[in-house]
Amino acid sequence: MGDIQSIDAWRSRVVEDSEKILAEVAPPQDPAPEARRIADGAAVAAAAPWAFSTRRVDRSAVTGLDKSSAPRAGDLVLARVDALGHHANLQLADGRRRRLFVDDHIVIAYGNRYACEQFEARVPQHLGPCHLVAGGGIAALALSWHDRISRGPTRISPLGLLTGPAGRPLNLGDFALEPRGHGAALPPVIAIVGTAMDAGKTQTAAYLVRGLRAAGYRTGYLKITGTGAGGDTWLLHDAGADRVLDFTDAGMASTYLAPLERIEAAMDTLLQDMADHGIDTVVMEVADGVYQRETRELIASARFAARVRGIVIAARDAMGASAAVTSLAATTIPVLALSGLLSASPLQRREAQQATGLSSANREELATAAVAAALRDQALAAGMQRAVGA
Amino acid sequence: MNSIASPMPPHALQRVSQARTDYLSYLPRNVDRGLAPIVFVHGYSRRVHEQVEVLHRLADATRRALIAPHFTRELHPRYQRLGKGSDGQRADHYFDACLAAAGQCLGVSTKRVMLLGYSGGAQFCHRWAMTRPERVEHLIAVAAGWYTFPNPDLAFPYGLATAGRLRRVSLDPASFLTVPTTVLVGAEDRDSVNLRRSPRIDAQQGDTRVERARRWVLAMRMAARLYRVDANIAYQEVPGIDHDFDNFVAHGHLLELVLAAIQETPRLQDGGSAGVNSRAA
Repeated sequence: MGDIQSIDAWRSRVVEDSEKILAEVAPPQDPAPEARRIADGAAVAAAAPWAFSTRRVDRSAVTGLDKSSAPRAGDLVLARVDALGHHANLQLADGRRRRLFVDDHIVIAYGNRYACEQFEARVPQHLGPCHLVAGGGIAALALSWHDRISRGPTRISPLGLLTGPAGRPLNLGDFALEPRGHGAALPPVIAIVGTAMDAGKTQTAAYLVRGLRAAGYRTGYLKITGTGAGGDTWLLHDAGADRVLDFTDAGMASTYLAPLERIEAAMDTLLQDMADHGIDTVVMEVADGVYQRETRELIASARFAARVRGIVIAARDAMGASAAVTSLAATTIPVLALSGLLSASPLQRREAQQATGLSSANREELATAAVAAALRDQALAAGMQRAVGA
Repeated sequence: MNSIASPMPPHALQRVSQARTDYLSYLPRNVDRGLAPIVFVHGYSRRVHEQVEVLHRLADATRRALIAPHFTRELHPRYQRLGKGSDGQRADHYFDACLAAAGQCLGVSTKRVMLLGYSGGAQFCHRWAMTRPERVEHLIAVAAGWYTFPNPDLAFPYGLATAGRLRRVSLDPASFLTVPTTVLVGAEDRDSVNLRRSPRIDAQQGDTRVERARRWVLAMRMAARLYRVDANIAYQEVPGIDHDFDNFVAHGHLLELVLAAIQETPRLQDGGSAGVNSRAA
């Protein structure tokens, strides 16, 4: 086999000669020439549809395209639709679902996504091709998805980040509601917490809002975690909520992988806004299930315990409800009732009551003034006890 | 380099052949269990036993365990492309199961591996590395027949569009482009025996293994520029060598080349992490 020195010398020669050979081979075609062809990014962006996730952005602030920076969560991006997959429509800022076509240019925001029934997706470290991972207009690289999503994610090619007056990339955070100092006292909050995505949390919130309004309360709805999409907030507008806000109003495209402090700060900013608008009860929805990282951290935080007077659990079935109650055992916030999909089944309701000792309320019951007001009173009374106990 | 010539102690080689896992493993006497094992994937002729008997010397020289999953002709006819076997299990899932079982049996972690593939095995290895870049300490692809190019517009296995091809898998170029990679090919590997030929592959990649390796290395380097990560891909075209494994070992110093690549891995990795583009706050 020869000694080390001669083999090392031979190897160096092989490497050197191989590089010389490569230098003479015709390079493959550049895979993404389009971004360079777009001269006036601001004009293309102005003509493109803007997604729900970007609804707070002042479009006149756009000055051009940054084609080289690494994107961050919340950055606005002009992208081309390459191939349609699961999301064939884009929710626009005005609520319309716009049909997408291949080669459309769209303005959306980068964000991480955690959705058990849909996609797990992360903001890539580059402006290379990625995916539309939420109908509300979220760009990210899909890492995994539910079996049901047979077509895979819709593929997009980012053409550049939208830049502002200083030439720096614009971020949703630049257009967030301003955090306020202590204005009006914060209203009491009832949190809706679920066992998983699609357990019935938003329906629970909507009917509870109707009940509280029927009882005479100026009621706000706040979705504190999740992925930017219009469906939930529009449902709550329809349900008659006096003010509807979500984390996108605090400048976040989504809350997956966001630090707890950022979510806590968003919660306080949005609750203060509710107070300043004369809201006297807030129904706050926490996305996904109690095992999800941000949901778990938020529920366990002292700030959450200080703001939330009571929790309604939305679950698909009795066993899920029971597990949720168990995992909430460490918090001092009282669980007021069970609801969600299980409440549509009399047998599941009975099982759940036997397992947890908690009563449940279905949609029609939540929408009555009597039940909603009783839940609110129960929360305030428990809050008093907690305060006295402390 | 002396240890690279040592004969294999017969007691150290194990074959585990079960329904879901079939692999060979070799544990050097002086194994360092903290090091990522060398995982070898055989070619389409499936000469795994003979090849492991040669490659065990790499394990001795690097103090790493050696694991060689066996893709049988009956069960895994399309393993090179991560295809499903006749039992319905995808080749990469079967491979994962082999690694997990071997790791447990040998007492080494297979969370990260030194991945070495020959011919059809090199095809498998680079595709597996694209799906699980975080697990690959160094990819060494020897004489692959053809490649998956880092082109998101082409359907897998030609390119990265996995929808409908690789269920629930998405390939992230920015991640796999940073995997330290060494491509080895014999400069005389220009015969089309056992080489997959089709107008589509020939047009995209060329009509010999040499041509295909060159184009893939260039495409990977160009893609790295597009994704603004440092390319970590070395190319070695070995003079006088064709597609014969034994000839590559005897006259192309294959073991020495692979050993040098393994030993240079930390340096390659340092280079890889520094190049990720970032924006000042």
